Amino acid sequence: MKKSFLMLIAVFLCVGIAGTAFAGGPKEKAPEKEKKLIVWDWQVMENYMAAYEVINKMFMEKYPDVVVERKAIASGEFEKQLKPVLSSGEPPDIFQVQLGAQAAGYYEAGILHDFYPDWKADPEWQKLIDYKNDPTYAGWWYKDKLISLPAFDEWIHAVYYYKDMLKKYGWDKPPRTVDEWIEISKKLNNDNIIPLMTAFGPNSIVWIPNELWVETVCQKYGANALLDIQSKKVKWSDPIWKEGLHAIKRMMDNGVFNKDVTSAEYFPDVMTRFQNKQAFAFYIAGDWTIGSMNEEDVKSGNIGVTTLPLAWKDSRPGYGNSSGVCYGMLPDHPKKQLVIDYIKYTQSAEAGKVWLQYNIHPTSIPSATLPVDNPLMKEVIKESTQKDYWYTPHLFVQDAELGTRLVENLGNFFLGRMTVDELCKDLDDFMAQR
Amino acid sequence: MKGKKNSEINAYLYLIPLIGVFFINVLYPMGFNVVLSFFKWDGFNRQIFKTFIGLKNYAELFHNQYFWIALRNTAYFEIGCCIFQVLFPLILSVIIFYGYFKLENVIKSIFYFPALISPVLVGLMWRYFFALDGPVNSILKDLGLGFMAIQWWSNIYWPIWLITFMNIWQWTGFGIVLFSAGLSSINEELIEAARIDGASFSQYIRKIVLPLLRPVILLDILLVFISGFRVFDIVYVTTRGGPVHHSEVLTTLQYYYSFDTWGPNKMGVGAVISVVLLLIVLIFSFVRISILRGTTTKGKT
Amino acid sequence: MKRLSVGSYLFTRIVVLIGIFIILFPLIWIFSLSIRRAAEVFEGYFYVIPKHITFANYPEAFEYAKNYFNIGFFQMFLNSAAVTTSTIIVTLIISILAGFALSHYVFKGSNLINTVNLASFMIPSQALLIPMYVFLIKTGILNTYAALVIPYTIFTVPITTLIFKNFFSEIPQELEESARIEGATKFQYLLRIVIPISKPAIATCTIYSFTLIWNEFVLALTFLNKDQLKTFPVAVSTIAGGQYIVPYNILGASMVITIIPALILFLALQRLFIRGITLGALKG
Repeated sequence: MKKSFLMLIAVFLCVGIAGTAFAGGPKEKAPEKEKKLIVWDWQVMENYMAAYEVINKMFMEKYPDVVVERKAIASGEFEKQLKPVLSSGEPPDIFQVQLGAQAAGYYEAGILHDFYPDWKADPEWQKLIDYKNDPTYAGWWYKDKLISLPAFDEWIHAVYYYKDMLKKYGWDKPPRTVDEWIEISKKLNNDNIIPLMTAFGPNSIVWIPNELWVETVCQKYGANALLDIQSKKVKWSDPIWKEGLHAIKRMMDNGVFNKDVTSAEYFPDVMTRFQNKQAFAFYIAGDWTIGSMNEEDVKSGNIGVTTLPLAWKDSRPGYGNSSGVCYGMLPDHPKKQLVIDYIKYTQSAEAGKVWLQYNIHPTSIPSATLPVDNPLMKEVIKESTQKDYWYTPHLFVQDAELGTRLVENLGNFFLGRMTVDELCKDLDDFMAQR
Repeated sequence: MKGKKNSEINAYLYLIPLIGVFFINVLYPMGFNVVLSFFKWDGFNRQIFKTFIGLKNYAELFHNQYFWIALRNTAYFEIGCCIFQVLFPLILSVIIFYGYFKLENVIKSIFYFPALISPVLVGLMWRYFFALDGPVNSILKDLGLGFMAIQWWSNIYWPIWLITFMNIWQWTGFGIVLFSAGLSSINEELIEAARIDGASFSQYIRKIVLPLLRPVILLDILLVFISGFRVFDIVYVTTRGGPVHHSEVLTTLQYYYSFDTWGPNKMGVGAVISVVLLLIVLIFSFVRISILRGTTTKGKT
Repeated sequence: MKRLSVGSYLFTRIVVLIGIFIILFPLIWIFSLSIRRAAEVFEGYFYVIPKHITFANYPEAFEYAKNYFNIGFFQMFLNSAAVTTSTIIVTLIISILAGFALSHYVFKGSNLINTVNLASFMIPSQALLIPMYVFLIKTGILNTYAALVIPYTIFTVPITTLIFKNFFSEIPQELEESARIEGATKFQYLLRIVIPISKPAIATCTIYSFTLIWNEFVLALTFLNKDQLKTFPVAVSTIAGGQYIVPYNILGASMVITIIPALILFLALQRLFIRGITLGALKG
């Protein structure tokens, strides 16, 4: 009797102590407001964090019964936190999505709303952004549905370089063609400076190798290069595609890229090296990085903008664009109108002023006429809006499996395990089965 | 004098919490993973078990060259760790124990210190060390061995060995503490007896110490082997399984399939990898039981 | 073998010195990182001696965490401490009971439990992630400390049970005999005699569990994703593994900060820890 009694006490103690663990976690002290808007994105850079804070505050002043709760999670961790919460939990009202296979995949999983009907029915919104006709947003249509909202900014892909380094080597204009890049690289490598820094590492393996190749091909083929190859109008073994990749290989073999091609992480390795002036130029998939560059160099106009090396004699220069921060929303979400109001606000002129203040390139119609102070931003806008330049948002493969295959092949290519011909043939074989 | 029946019930009562832990943390997740391995789930759909696809996940995994690479890498890692995470501590602990060091405890603490650090930090640290312009390469260049200063992490073959080295670096101290404990429990009289018999030091080590240490050595191998399957942080932080999956281990490959933003988002295939791991565990346990049945041990594990 | 020959002396000293150097050099480098200026992260005499010393990185590390995670440094520490303490308490209770049963009783299935116990230690975190997440959501436990305590037990309990089992089986029979003579039940024997003399084993298990849980990352990231609940290593890991510029100097400072609690605990319990391994591991 006594023993079983003691046993019972022991078990109680066990459960009790374990139970105190249940009570863990501080209670939220947020006041109960009528409406809450939960926003998740991966724009963790300082300038974005600051800009969002200002904009969200302004929005909340305009809509006093709304609380905007923004959560910024580094992109590597983003889906890890989003997925569980989407499948069983309290999902955010809007969440950032990545162009291409990710957005397409989300749509197929049934978690993205089609905003076209809402936009079409809203003349006020149409004055802020022309989703239908502006080529900037062409990449966001999937099967004739506007599945995500390019919110307020756009990201021009460009090569940034240091003008003073250029002068030091006796060049007054940046290198344009592949041959010119190879020539200047010889001198730069001699001084242990990486000519064209870019990342092919695990984190960025989705974008950079693809875009490097696609944007090179666009010089000869035109803006729809990736679009046409996905719709099977062209094959990967097409001479233009092969020649484009050969040009990249030539640059690689002649030391134009950083030697650590397959392991450089986007920001940690690439941006830090560029900032420390260990690299002359820097190919980046977006001008959102301006906020992270050396302030003095940016302000003094020491950083210039140019296109990727031109691979053919008759190459047309141009820029790719990946339409900035893009938000998706669950279909027919009850807070849809609140979401739309918020997005529209971020596209307004007053928001545009704030974006510019924080070196973010706003893209809405009213923002286009705002004055730009930042000299580098000015140059980016000027460069990318030149006549006769091609301009494309079609930089991402929408079929996830093809995308993975492409990226893995390119990775092996940069590791020297695949030749140009093998790579193209493998992709064609792969596509033949789809 | 309690009856035998009574005793048994008591034992089971004591074991209830342990069994509870086992149910919720092993049986349930494994069952879930086994079932999930036959379905297609991208992690978003609220209905997890909506699309049944039979063995397609298994086919996809076994046809993927990177699965076999991951398997191979896991094996390399296990072999490397099981050998050196036992050998180094053994040698070092013998040297420390019989070396009449004044600061013996301090030395042991220093060796043990890395075990306290998060594997993530260990990974980051060594990633920097082996970066292209990092300390290791600079030292090699200064020593005139510039040809060896390669891009360690961009390499196809080296990263898994570097990772193995990092793990050994972190956990050698643990083995030293373990073996030191074992050494200190060796009877003093045996040392005297050996000395009287005129045995040399190496004979003493080989004939007396090592056999006596056998249980501890086996325990160490067991612990190393078991923790080897759980390695993740260190690989993830240094190479993410790269370049192009050439340094994947099973756990990172599973992460790639299930959670990686840029991965295939196929939770079903991730579950297959869990099943594979489960099978390896089962096989190993079975082998171990068979070995134990074959030896006569009284009351030992 | 009372004195070492010159050769042996040199040999042992050299080997140990090399070992210590290999262990300490990277750690010294981290410390050196933590006191460097941001711009000089890649420079240094012999990579280890900073060109300029600054301790500003430490407060900056706290700021950094606050900005990225909307959580104060103290709160983060509290979360880690709460989870770790709860897990250690639960672990000790479960494994002391189980270890006692496995060492002091003879019953059917003890071998099975032993094997299963060890086998379950092999579970990698990933295997737990999805099933456990679904479970935690459905029972509403997610985003409480219990959400981590429950899965963490499978990381700690197998080994601690083993340690206690071995330790307990070394206790001389006479103690139990005399307790029985005095009329105590087996449970009282456990409470009043066994546990008090098990301090080394308890210390070992505490340190072991502590290091494991304190540095755990994968589960902590997923199951405690409310900002206010994040644990220490999640913060440091995310800073370091982040997509954007890794401020190596701040990272170094964060690393040092993270190591300190574990270091303190270890130094405090060090002797007990070593004794515990001695007695607990020998018959493994």
